[in-house]
Amino acid sequence: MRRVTFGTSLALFLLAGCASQGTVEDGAVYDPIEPANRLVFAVNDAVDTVVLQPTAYVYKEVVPAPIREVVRNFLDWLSSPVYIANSALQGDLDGLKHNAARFVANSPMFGMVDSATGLGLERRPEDFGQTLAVWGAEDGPYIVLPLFGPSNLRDTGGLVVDHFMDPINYIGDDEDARFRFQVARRVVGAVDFRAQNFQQINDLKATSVDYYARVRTIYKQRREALIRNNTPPPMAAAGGSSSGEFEEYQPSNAPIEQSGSRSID
Amino acid sequence: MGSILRALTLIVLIAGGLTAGPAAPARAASDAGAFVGEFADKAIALVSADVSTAERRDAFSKLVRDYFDMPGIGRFLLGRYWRTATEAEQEAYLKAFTENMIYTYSRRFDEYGGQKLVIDGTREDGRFDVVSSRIVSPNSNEEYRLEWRVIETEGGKKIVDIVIEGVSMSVTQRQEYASVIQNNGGKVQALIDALNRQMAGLRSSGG
Repeated sequence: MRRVTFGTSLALFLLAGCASQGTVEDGAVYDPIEPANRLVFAVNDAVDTVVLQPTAYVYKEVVPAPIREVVRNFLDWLSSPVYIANSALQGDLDGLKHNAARFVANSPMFGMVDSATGLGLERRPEDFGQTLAVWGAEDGPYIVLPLFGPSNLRDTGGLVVDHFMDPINYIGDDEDARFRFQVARRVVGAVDFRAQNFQQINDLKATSVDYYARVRTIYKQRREALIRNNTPPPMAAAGGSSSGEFEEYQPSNAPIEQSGSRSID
Repeated sequence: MGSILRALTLIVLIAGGLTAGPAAPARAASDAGAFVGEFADKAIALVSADVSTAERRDAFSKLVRDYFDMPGIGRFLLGRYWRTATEAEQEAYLKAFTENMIYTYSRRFDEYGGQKLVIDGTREDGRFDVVSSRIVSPNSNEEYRLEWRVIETEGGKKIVDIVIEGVSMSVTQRQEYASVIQNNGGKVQALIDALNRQMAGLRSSGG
């Protein structure tokens, strides 16, 4: 019981922080603790190279694709109650129906077979970070969490709340078994994610000039898209402009200088 | 995060060649959707063409230069640093950026797996036309949402950005470049060096 109280107050503390946000350039990510974040990012990256990437590689090569699909479906199904609760909290009736129907459709096989997607009910993850955004909370400062990866103050608070929303934490009385189960679930989730995006993550790293900055902006953009449930920005729907940074775009008509040699020094 | 990463690589895949789906709307010259479909058609034709890798990459480079506003994108990615750069730096940067972008895209040529691009529609967004489309894979029910930002220039329509599952390629690169310059005392030369170093690395790794 005491832990619940601690979690709640931590969440409230984190939420309070969301209210204040410094000014940043259009489109930039507010990152006041960049040096610390870069350090954690580097450690995470090292863990990825040394542990996660090789494990994911073996997983991908040894476990057949259909089995990996079953694992992925099951993990997603385990999160259904959290998706449903957050859809409700966002007042998103469509999302609530969608996620509830998904849960019902996939429950006969304990989520291992995703028959819902075939029925037009594809995955639609919702978390408390998104809920807070719908309620009007700003991102707050960017935070790279150890092992969990990119986040921000709002979404970190969301993670804590999602944890307490998860019914698995209230099943049975063997606290140790529950803890081991939750850890195993995260670890398998991470390995599966890395395996599924194996080449992509390697390419993302190989083709960047600042991997940290690249991941930071992708995180922000992707979260914004998820919060809007992948619909176009509101200005665009109203027939105006959602161009944002593109307001300053200057098209060029002059052909680019063609240098004779393609060699690189 | 999963979809972000997959999405980002998809840009590379698209560049590596996608088909315009049969659902592409009528090919009116003024239609941005048709323009995007035309680019995708030509890219897929290139993938299927029976030519050497070097020839294909040259053809691809020309295709991208024809359909994308490369100098405009380059300037946009540099943001406010464009004005602080010397003329020589601007030129060196544009060269490095263009080579880099085309090279990273064309690396993926061989991984094309029969995906199709289905054009869904076009909406106006200020000075731009935004074309919505989906990438559909032949042997999976996964789809990716893709938006193309197109502008009308004196030289005709040009693509200025691709947004994959909410992640804009141009905005991402712009933020990344700004970070490199900021962390090097505002020097544009640092970015040029980083781009050139990266190209050299990618080439030597045979990518």
